[in-house]
Amino acid sequence: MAITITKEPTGIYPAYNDSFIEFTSDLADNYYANISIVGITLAFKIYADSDGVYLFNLKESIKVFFNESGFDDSNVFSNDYYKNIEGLYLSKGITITVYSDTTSEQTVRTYEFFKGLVQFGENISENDYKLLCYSEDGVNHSLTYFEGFPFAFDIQKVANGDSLKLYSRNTGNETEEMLATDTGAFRINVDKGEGNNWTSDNFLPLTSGLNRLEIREDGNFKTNLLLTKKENCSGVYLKWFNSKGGYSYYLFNRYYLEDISGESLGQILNNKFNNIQEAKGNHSSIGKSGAGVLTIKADYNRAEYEILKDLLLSPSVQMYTSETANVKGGFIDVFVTGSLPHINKRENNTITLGITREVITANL
Amino acid sequence: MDERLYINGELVDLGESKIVRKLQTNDVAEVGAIKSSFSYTISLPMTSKNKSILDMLSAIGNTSRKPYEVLTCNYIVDGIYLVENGAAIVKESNNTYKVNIIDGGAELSSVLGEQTVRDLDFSEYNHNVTVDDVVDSLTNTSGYIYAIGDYKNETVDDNINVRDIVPSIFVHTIVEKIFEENGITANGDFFTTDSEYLNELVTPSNGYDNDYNDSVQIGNIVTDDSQVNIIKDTCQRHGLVVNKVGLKEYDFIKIDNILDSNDVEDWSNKLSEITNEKYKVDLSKYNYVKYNDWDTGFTRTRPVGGKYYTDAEYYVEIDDENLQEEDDLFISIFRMLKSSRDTSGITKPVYEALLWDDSGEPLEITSYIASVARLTQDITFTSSTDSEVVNNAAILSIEDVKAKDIVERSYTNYQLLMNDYREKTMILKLSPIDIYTLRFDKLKYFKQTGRRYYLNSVQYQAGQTAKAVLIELN
Repeated sequence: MAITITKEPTGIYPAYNDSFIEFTSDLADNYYANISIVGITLAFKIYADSDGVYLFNLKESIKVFFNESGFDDSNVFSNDYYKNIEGLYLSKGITITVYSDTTSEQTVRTYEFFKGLVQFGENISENDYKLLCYSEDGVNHSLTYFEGFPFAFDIQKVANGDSLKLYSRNTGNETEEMLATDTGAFRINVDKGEGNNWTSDNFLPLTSGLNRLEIREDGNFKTNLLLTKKENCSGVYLKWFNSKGGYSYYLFNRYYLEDISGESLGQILNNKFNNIQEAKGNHSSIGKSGAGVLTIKADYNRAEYEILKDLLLSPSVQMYTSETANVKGGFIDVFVTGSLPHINKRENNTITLGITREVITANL
Repeated sequence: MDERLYINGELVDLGESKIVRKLQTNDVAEVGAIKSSFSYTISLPMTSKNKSILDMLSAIGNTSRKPYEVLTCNYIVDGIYLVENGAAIVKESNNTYKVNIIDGGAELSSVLGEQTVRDLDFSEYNHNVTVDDVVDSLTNTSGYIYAIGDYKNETVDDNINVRDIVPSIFVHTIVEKIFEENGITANGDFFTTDSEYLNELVTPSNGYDNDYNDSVQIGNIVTDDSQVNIIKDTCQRHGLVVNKVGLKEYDFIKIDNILDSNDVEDWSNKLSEITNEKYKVDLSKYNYVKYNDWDTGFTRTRPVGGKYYTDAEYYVEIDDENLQEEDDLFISIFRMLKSSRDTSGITKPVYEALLWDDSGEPLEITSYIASVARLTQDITFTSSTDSEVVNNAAILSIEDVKAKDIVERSYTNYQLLMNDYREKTMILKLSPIDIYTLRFDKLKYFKQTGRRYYLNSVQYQAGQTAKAVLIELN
């Protein structure tokens, strides 16, 4: 007797895409199956079709594990330049039990997932060490770094005990050994946003402009990172959750339009029972709801376009409260509207966004 | 506004639509109805967190049992528990989970369920058919008492065989046992201080073997009505309003006391707008209070300009020519006593409450309601071996329990409220604290109208003005 899997997610699979398991069983007169997923209390029960084929979609269950903390970045740290992080990679055991009236048979599978999604036609790289940002091939990545503002990048999966180093092909310099203490995603801080960065702390000094970096594991090449460093920056800095399960960053122009608006929550009688000589009015406001809207712009090139594409679709966008490099600020939640028109004939285009942030008001 | 909903101790994701709570007391037209506040159905978004809390309900293949369980819930606004130890019931899911929140735990009727009075433990009151036990009962103010009545369709005189008299059970004993054995806390001083209520009896509902020295098992002869009906009947006959205030905790207060009280809350500052005034209540011109056997030949009386009434039926009259002529306000589960034909030497009426037929076979009947009256003459209780003379014998009486007594004692102010009926809908500024401390048993005063009101219901949503329905006192 055996359970034969005819379809299943492979590699490190995007959690927000459909992830079907399809299987059949040799068990005589089998007609239903239980799917147990580690961490979910109750098993799922499904029945075979007329050909005896079972089909189950893991997506809804796997999303639960990734969404426990929503899309906010719960892995921010500033006491070091590298660390294993949680919530972006998952390995799950699935037990499939097929039943007949009298007996059952079982198989156990393990699947790996990352907290992202992939579009139709897009390639799913088999490189575990790919970064959680856009890449055509999962090996070569391009990012823009605005010195003085918080910036990091995440590696999809490292294995417990991996010895990682970053190597600069520009300078021939190499970082100290970065030891993975767990299997899962791994974050490398580039700039802590308070004046501490790779260059100032001599972690891996970067030159202005393009830095050709390699991520190596135990001396073996794993991933390329073309990191463009921009200096003397100021402006509106955004951070957002991208479709690859990581976080992206970009700096918008320091000149923008700001508009504060308020909407009345209603009026009520003020019950002062005054005659006209004393009265100032019969109604009081319950309060107002407020919003501040910034209209911001930025120029971007072809490589940066792929990074910015996720911004308008991201479920979590935050704005840095400091507009000056190396001045400590914090990230606050904002809502984004706008469009990203891209003429691929041009080397550079401009993005215009509306950023809405909540304004706290006093209400009755 | 910080709004949180916890289901089974876990914080759920709330969507855009806010929780709307409707808090209400008894509808004035439904006297004695045991209602409670509840909320409208809320829609919870199908986030991964909510799915996880509900055991993946709505996911393909899920085996969640959550819709079939009563989930505990707490609803907190700005740190204030507006629903504490409430119940959440998942009704439906499409794009959202439709969940009903019932605050304060289960309604009284749910707590009592299908239980009957005979499910209660009356073993402490079991005794024997002896002169001593009969005479000892005469000083009881709880439990049971042997009150003289016609139980066998025979002449009753001042020499009474202990086989010809039965123990009647105090209503308050039954009610106390219902509360005690169900873990219910009943607030208010009615149950401990109302003298008419504390003097009420119910006769047994069936005859039984009562040879000398036989054991009398109270639990086998007490009425077998449902516990819910006993509480409801008590509330109706005494005009009690019931408000749920906590887990198995209820306030009981006479509506006439609320309406007559000087303990009034000034809500003048809370009023924003009066949006509506209604003049029709779901009552009739003559709203009858009846006993179960009201149509079995009671002597009718008709006052000048009034309607017929008997000991078993009387009415609350509403001065509104546009209402329908008459209807029942409520019908008690108990019967009303009628005088016996055959008495000799007893100085008060002896009432018939037959438990055996003429051939001596036990009968099963609907119990009678009665009050305890006292004879000041000598009565001799006898058995085959003993006898004892007492001069404080108890006798079944209809004093204070007639339908007219009920109306005049418990529905006078209610009648005034219903006359010139004005129901106003008001928009009020109520904070979470106001909702948390909301009292239906206190009248509300508004300077804007110079009137006092009985609060019937409040519809509240955090961060919004509230809509309340109040009835104006005239």
